[in-house]
Amino acid sequence: MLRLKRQPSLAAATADGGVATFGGRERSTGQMVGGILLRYAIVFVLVVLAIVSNVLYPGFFEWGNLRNILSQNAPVGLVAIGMTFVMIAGGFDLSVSAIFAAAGVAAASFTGHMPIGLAFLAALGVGLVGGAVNGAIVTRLKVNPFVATLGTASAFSGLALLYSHSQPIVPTHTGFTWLGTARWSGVPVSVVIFFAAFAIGAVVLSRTVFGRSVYAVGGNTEAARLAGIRVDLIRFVTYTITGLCAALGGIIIASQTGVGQADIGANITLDSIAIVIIGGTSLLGGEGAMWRTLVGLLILATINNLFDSLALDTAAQSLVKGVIVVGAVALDSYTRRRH
Amino acid sequence: MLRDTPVTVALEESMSGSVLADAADVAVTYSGVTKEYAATVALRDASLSLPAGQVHAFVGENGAGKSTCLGVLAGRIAPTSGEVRVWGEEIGYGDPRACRRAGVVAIYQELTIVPALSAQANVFLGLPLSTRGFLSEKAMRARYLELCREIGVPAVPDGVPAGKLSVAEQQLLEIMRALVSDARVILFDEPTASLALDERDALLRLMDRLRSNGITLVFVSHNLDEVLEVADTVTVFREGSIVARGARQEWDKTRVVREMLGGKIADRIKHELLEDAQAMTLEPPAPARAAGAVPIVRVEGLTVPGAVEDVSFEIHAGEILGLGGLVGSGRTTVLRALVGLEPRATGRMWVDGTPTSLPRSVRQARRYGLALIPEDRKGQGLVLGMDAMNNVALSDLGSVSRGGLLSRRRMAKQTTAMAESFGFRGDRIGELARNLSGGNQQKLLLARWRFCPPRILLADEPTRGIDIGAKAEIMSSLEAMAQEGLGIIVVSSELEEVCALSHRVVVLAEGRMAGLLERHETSITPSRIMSTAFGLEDVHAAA
Repeated sequence: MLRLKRQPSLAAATADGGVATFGGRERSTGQMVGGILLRYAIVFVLVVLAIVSNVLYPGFFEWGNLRNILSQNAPVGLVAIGMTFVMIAGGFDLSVSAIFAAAGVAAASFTGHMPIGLAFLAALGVGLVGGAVNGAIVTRLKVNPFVATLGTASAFSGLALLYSHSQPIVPTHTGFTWLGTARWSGVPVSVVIFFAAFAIGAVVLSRTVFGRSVYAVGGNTEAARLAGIRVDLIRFVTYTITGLCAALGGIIIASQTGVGQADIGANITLDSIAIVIIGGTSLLGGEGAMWRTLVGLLILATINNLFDSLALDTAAQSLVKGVIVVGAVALDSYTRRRH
Repeated sequence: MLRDTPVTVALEESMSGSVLADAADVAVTYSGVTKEYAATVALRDASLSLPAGQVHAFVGENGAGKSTCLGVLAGRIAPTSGEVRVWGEEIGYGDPRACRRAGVVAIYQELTIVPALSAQANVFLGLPLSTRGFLSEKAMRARYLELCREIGVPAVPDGVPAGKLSVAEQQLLEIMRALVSDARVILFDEPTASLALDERDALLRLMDRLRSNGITLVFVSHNLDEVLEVADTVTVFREGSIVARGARQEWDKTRVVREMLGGKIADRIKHELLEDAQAMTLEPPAPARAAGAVPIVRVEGLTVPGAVEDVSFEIHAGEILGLGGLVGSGRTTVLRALVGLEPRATGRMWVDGTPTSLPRSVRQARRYGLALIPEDRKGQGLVLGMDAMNNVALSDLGSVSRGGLLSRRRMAKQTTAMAESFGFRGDRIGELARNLSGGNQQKLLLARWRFCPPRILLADEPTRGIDIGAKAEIMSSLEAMAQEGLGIIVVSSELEEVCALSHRVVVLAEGRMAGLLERHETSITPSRIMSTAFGLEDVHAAA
């Protein structure tokens, strides 16, 4: 068998971190192209979807529309960034919508008692604590993440409802809506925050020791433990990051709507998980990337936008979303078998 | 040495009169079977016929094509081209259920036992005896007991879940499952790899019995002694092709090894190393221990309830300590306790002469200087979805990062050097661990601990499932690491290896210490380890 002699493929550094590389084996151009097509299939899906959208609805690529899409989806996108960490580490978090709502309530309520910046920080602290509780339950009490966060979702939501007496909290402070509605030279602040969080998340996940450890823990927990990685700490931190991201998303939505409500964002959990999965990050952990989450977000956002502009009803949206999630996972499973 | 004549013809010539009669007695025929993967040819133009009612052995180095050949017959792998017939009927390619219907059943190393179900429920899994949709537990139990008598094995008491049984007993259940489904051809992939010696003998006897009942057996094995003991025909694979094939009487161990390795010069050297294994046992390495030196680690009264009782030993820098004994004697548990994986472990421990507690976590063990290469490379050693370099660097990612950011360039450079020192090809450092052979995977694990060296390396079955060439490389690497001052504790079911490597051997039997063999006092031989384990007088001492 022929093999190309070549130097370790330094150039193969990818956004997927240590996960996917081309080795020293000789591959024909056709196989190479096929591999790349499969690897980036989801990007082509997005491109095709955007073009189709623009045909069905010619205003799609206009800046006003794109800006709307991005600012509407920045909150759920932030949650998905956190979810990416948890899922690559092999975990799961069903409590993000509860944290999302609770942080919004907290931010709205705290503005009455303290300076606005501090109120936002304190609301972020709520998310941090919520995530840490999840992490502690999963790593210390060894409760299955699915069950643990199903439980805390109910508990956090209950706390937020009790705290707000099930009433929407409308802060009178004029600065409250700045985060959600202000623009910097035409770009909404919420969108800037989302992309900043995305960039930080992508670098942390793909380039840092912590990020690589997240992949190792999700890929093979026992191997990571024997290699000396603090498995429980890593998993704990991923839940904390997710709590923080969910809170940031919740604060922004509260700021966008000008109200803190304990019962909003019920679909945030499902949507954020769908975004991560559609992007192609594995449900089983160990494989995936932050850019995939961005692509997943844009796909879901484009579909929502298209349906809204064609004035199709939400039931159809829900149906299509479900089909896409199942399709994405089936595609993932199919490519895995061929691998 | 590739034969020019078609292999089947060569076989029939060599076996004429003795075992091969006519076409009706041929159970399996392969004609020109080829299996290509994207970049490699796993099996090239394999043609052979396997007479019914015999035991056929497939041997070869890892990646030589023998398992692919078996997998095609089992329906697990669809061939790219060629034809396979079982009693003249073409099989359903890539369709294990169709192959099963044709009477071909494969038993893999990873057993498919449902742990919570009883022995008979596992035997009748998929084809339970029932009346009108309700399970007939009594009938299944009766048939199970009958089967046990037929094949001469003890029955498992009713109500004991299969998960509580030993690997050998679970394997028996799978064999019985094959029998109740009327299998006429049974395929074994490394059936004895995880069995103790007595279990291994029992399995070989069972194979003999199955053969006399007219069942055709095909097995893949790295253990040439058992191949020569039980097989009627031997087929040697090398680099995807069948290179030699013949009846048992044509073969001895030397010839099998020669055919397996072929003319590759590098492999010749390995082959010589292998032949030197005997010499190595007779030539004790110089004792590395200075008089009065403090051991790196001393353990006294190590006990893990239900597995290990009152085991004591010490290990110095530069020493290789072997843990000898049968599978199930507690060897692996001792290693796991030393790296903090056995929470119920008790005992006293000294590190550099200072009393400490037994480690309670892997990280605490790392601080003491202990690292483990686990027996289960894929399940516990490697992150299969990561490339080779990341798997090596995993032990100390911090050392290839700057300001918190990983440097892929530094990682590639440093890990390549480490892996190459164990004979791993540097240009494969970017490949996924999943795509590497067992030998290369093991080299990565060794490289991981040279990348971030512990003071004592614990190696559990470092050569299991690895081909002969890589085995020799790994053994000499372990010796070299010890000479550099690393303490090594090695567990291996291949007692010859333990003998060849170790300065001292702690012999375990049923979780207790049966004895301590010191290289400078006595020569360490497999028979001495076995007689110590069984508490016999050392009758073979002179041998």
